Amino acid sequence: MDGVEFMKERNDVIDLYDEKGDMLAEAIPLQAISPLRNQAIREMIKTIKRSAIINLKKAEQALKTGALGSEMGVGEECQIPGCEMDLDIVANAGAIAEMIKKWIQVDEDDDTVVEIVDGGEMLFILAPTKRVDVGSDLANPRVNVGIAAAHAIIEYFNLSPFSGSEVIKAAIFGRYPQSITTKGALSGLIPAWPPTVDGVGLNFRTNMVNDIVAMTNKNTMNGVALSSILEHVAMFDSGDAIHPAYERYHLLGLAYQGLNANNVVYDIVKANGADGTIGSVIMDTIKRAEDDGVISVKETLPSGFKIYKTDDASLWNSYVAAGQLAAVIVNCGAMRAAQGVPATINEFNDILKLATGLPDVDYGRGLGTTIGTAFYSHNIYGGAGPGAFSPANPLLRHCRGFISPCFVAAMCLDAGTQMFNPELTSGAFLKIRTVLPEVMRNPIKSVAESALELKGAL
Amino acid sequence: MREFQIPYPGDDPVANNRKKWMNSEFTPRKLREISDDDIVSLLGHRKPGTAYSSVHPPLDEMKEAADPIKELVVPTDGAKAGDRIRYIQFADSMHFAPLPPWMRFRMYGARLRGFDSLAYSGRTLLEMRERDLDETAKFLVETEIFDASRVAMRSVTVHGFSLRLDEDGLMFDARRRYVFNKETGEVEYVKTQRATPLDRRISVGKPLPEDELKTLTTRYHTALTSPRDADELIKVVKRVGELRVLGGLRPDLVDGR
Repeated sequence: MDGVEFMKERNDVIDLYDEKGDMLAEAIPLQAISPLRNQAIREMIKTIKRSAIINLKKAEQALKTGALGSEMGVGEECQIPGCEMDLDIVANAGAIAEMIKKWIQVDEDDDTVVEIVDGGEMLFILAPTKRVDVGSDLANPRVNVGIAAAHAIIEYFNLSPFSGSEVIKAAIFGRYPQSITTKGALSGLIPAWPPTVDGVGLNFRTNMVNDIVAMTNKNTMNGVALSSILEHVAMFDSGDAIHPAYERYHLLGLAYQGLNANNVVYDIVKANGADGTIGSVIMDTIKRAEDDGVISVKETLPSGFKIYKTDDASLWNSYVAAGQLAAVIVNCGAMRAAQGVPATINEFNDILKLATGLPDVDYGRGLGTTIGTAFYSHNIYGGAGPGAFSPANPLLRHCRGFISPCFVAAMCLDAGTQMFNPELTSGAFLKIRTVLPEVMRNPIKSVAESALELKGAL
Repeated sequence: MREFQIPYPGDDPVANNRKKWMNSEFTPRKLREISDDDIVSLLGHRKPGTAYSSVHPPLDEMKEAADPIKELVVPTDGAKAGDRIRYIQFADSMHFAPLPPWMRFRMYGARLRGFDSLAYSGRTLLEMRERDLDETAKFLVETEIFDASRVAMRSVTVHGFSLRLDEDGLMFDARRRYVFNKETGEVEYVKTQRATPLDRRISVGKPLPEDELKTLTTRYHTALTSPRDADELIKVVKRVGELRVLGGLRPDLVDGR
């Protein structure tokens, strides 16, 4: 039985709602939000795969100071006196962008995009599909655009091997390939640079939480949606969504937690927004699942305690994931601070499993993962804040898609308590956001519109 | 706060005490009165009477991008004012402290709003916006959640929760933050939670009698209610464990169970 038949048999139909709780699409088959079918999600993936970002200001500054090929996260440890060059790269961004476009495009009117951002300080580029198609991995658009940018600077400023052309590469690519990282002026919509990714299927999980927050302009539900989409796309990428049961598991998680299906998240947040606690969100989640027929009482113990059962564990998991997100929104939203996100996830799952006798989110992986995250982000072990984690980080990667959206929600709601805030860690994404395709800026609406097109076809 | 009772398996004294703390309507007994200034002194974050420091401007003065969710969730007073986030940390002795760390952690989840916490083996951290924390700390120290001999405010050198009690029945503290006043029978703090000496002693009252602590306890103990007799709790925990393993292999293996 394939995925479509499997889900048809279970009558998996969802209604999609926007961030204001208004309905966008009614009675959508679950398969319509699959990354394998939904055009908006597919466009997001293609956009990411074709993207390259050149930070011209950073390149100009590196050349001006001779601080090239540094590996530090903060500051530069590597400065080469004597190779400084004062080139007006930002002021001539238009000419450089034109040269890059000419060299990377395949046909005159193909899908190449070269956008000048922030008055020439940055270039956002989508390499043409034809060029990306002949690539073997995610580095393809970035390498081609990076080399094109280096050539453009060399040609525009008429440099030769005797007047400094050899350091232009270092300004763009950093110390690569002497080091496996690229800490120069070159990046993409996802930071994954193939030599640095330590496992298959992690590429779409390499964005920091703050990157997602910046791309969606701190809009909680859209940030959650983009994060959830990337997480579950990564599950399709890594083989975790193979087998109809698992495919459905991830699609339900994406629907209910990421895309506010059936307004579950919104309804619970609304009911608890003024005076709710994690405890009241837990009770609302159980009640909603019971009312919707997802769980029912299996046995009443002598004390009166009710053990619940479910005939659809994947659907229960998605309700729990939605409730968990609502708990984070209520608790971190009341504090208007992100740091409580692992604690909230801990509390929610720990209490919920003992209150129902049913498994918690992702069969315990949500609880287990956030115990580690809380431990390593507090007290004497305290390191980065929630915004600086990426889902591929060893602290977050073990939960399969249900934690990062909660971290994104918490950072969207943070009013400025974090040292690692989106402005500091992801400033480029705040600027690039203006030229990003609509699907990435407003994922909830875009995915719902694409899902509507598939209604009746599945 | 909304009214709710979070279910918990079992009908023994420990389970019933745990259920009590998972009920939003339960009002713990107030055992002592500690002035607002003394709470601020014990916390040690600022001098009593001084203004709260802020980490960002008040919310109504900030220009934030439109977000319907931010309109749904009402911020706490501390968040509205842009207060810095501050902490209090409790060490709860395994010798019948009213709430061991995991129950204290769950109680926070049921009752508090706008907080960050973390439960270790013998300590539980709580972080909130400062004015929210002052209010919550007062509640936590004045009520039966706090026992003068078995619970302590310790933000550093928390060691001692599993050690034998001293000759006065107090939990060991390497920083000697509190002393037993033999004349009054009260426990007096001489240092803040951060072990900085206080200008004057702050009394947190008399310890509860051992028998009363045993009736209040939320910890299973072989000498009182044995964990082996917690049949319902063991049944639920075993069931959750089994379903987690099955679902981890394939979600639909849990269907119908």
